[in-house]
Amino acid sequence: MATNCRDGLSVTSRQELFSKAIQQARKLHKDAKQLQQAYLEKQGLSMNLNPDVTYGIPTAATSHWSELTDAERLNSGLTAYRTFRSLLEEVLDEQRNNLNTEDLEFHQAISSVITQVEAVIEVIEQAMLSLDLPIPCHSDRKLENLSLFERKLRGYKVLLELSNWALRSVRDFSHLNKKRKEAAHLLRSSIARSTRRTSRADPPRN
Amino acid sequence: MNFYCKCSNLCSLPPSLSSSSGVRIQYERIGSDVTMQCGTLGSDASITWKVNGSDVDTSVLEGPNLILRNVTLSYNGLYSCFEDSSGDLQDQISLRIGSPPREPVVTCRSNTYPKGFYCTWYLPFPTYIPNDFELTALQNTKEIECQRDAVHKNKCHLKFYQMFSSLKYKVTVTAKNALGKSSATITFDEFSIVKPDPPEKVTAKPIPDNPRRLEVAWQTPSSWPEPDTFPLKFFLRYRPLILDKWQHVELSDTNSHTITDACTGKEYIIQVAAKDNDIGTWSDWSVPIHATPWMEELKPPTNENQPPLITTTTSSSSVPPQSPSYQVSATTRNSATTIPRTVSLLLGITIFLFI
Repeated sequence: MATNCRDGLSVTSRQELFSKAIQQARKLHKDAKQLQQAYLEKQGLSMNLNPDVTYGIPTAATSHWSELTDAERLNSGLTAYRTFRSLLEEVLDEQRNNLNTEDLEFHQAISSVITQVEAVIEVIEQAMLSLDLPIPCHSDRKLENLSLFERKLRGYKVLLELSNWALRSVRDFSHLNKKRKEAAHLLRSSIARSTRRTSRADPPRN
Repeated sequence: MNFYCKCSNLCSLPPSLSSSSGVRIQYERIGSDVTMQCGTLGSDASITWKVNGSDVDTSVLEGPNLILRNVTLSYNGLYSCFEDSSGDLQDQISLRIGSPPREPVVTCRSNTYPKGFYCTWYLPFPTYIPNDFELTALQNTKEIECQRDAVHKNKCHLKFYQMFSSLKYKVTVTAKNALGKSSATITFDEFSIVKPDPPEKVTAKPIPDNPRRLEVAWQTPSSWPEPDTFPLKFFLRYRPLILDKWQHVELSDTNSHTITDACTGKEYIIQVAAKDNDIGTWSDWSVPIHATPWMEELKPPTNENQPPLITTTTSSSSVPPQSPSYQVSATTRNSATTIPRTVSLLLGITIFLFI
C-alpha cells in the first residue's frame, strides 16, 4: 500500500510540473510571436518573409510527432531551447551593437524572452529528472560568419522557430500530462480491483 | 469557334466525332456567333435544319451551315439537319451554351487538427456547362495527396505533412470546362486554418432556488480528435430573448458554466463557440438553446400579507395556487387598485376646477 501511495503522489507532482511547463511554454509562444512581429517592423522586413535558410536554427517541424517517446520529446526540446538561448543572446547583441542600438525597450523584450527560454529549459530538466531520464550535456554551437543582412534574417527566423517550438512544447507537455493521467487512472482502477478481490476473498465475520 | 466533346478526356478528338448516341456535342460561349455544320455535306447541298423538332428560321442559313449570332442560353437544344432530296437525317448536334470558368474561390480548414484538413471550392459565377476541378497541394516542395470527399464533389481531404512547421502550404484549384480553364491559389500556414466545429449537446438548466442562475453545459465537438493534448477553449454568449445585447464569457479547461447574472423570469438564448487554446480561429456558434432561470412557484396570497382593498377581491376567488392563475389574480388586484386611484384623481380635478 505504501508503494501505491508514493506512486500516486509522484504522479500528482508530475502533473503539476507538466501544467507549469504548459503555462510557461504557452506564454513563451505568445511572447515570441509578438516579438517576431515587432522584429519585422523594426527591421523593415516583409510580413510574408519565410526564409528557407536555416542558419543552424532548430526547426520544430516534425512528421512523426505522435510517435515520439517521452525521452525523444524532452531531449529534442531541451536541445532546441539550449540552442535558442545561445542564438537569442546573439540576436540581442546584434540589436544592441549594430541593428537597433537605441531601442532599449526592444532589447528588454528580447531579454525577457531569453529569461523565459531559460525557465523552459529548467522545467524540461525537472521533467526529465522526474521521469528518470538522463539529462544530456550541453554542446557548444558553432558560430557562423554572417553578413549584417543575414543576421537580420536569422533573427527573424530564430523568433519564428522559437514560437513554433514553444507551441510544440505546449503539445508535448499536454501529451505527457495526458499519459500520466491515464497511468494514474489505470493505477487507481487496478488498486480498486485488487481491493474488491481481497474483500471478496475475506471470510464473512460472524 | 471551338468544338468539344462531352467528356474532358475526349476533348482533343476531332469535332466530327459523335457521341455513342450519334449526337455531337458542341459547346459555345455566351454571346458568340456559332456555325453548325451539317455533317460533311458540301456547300451546294440543300438541307433543312430543325431545333428540338421545330423548323429553324431560314434566314440563319448559309448553304448547309446554320449560323447563330450572339447566342444566349435559350439557344441550347438538339439541332438536326436533313437532306432535302431524300429527307434523311444527316447530322445531330447538341448545342450547349456556357462560359469558361472564372477563378474558383478556395477555402481550407482544419476541424480535425492535427489529423488533417480539408479544402472546398466553388465557382463565383455559373458556367452552365459541366466543370472539372483539379487540386494540387504543396508544403514547400513536397506534394500532398488529396482525397476527394465521398459526398461533396467540391471538397478534398488532406493530411498535414508535418506539424509545427513554419513552411507554408500552397493549394491550387484549377477549374476546367470545354470552353476554358482558370485557377486560384491560396497560401497559408498550418496554424491559421485550425477552426473546430461548434460545441455539441449544449444544455442549459435552471438551478432550484436560484432565480438568476442557469447551469450551461456542452460537449467538445466529436470531430476534434485529441481534446486532451489539443484542448479547446470556449466562448459562451447569452442574452434575454427580448434584448439584442449579448453577454460573453471566455472559458478554459471546463465544459460547463453557471450564469449568475440572469434576469429573473426572462427566457434566455444561449450559444457556445470553441477554439484551440493556442492557435486558429473560433468555431461557428452552436445551435441556439433557450432556457429560463428558476422561478418561485408563488402561493396564493394570504390574509395577513395583503392590503385591505385586495383582500376583498382575492378572498372571493377560488383560484388554485399555480403561477399562471396567480398572474390572473395579480391583474385583478392591479385593476382593483387602479380604479379608486383614478376616481380620486378625477374627483380632485373636478374640485380644483370648481374652486
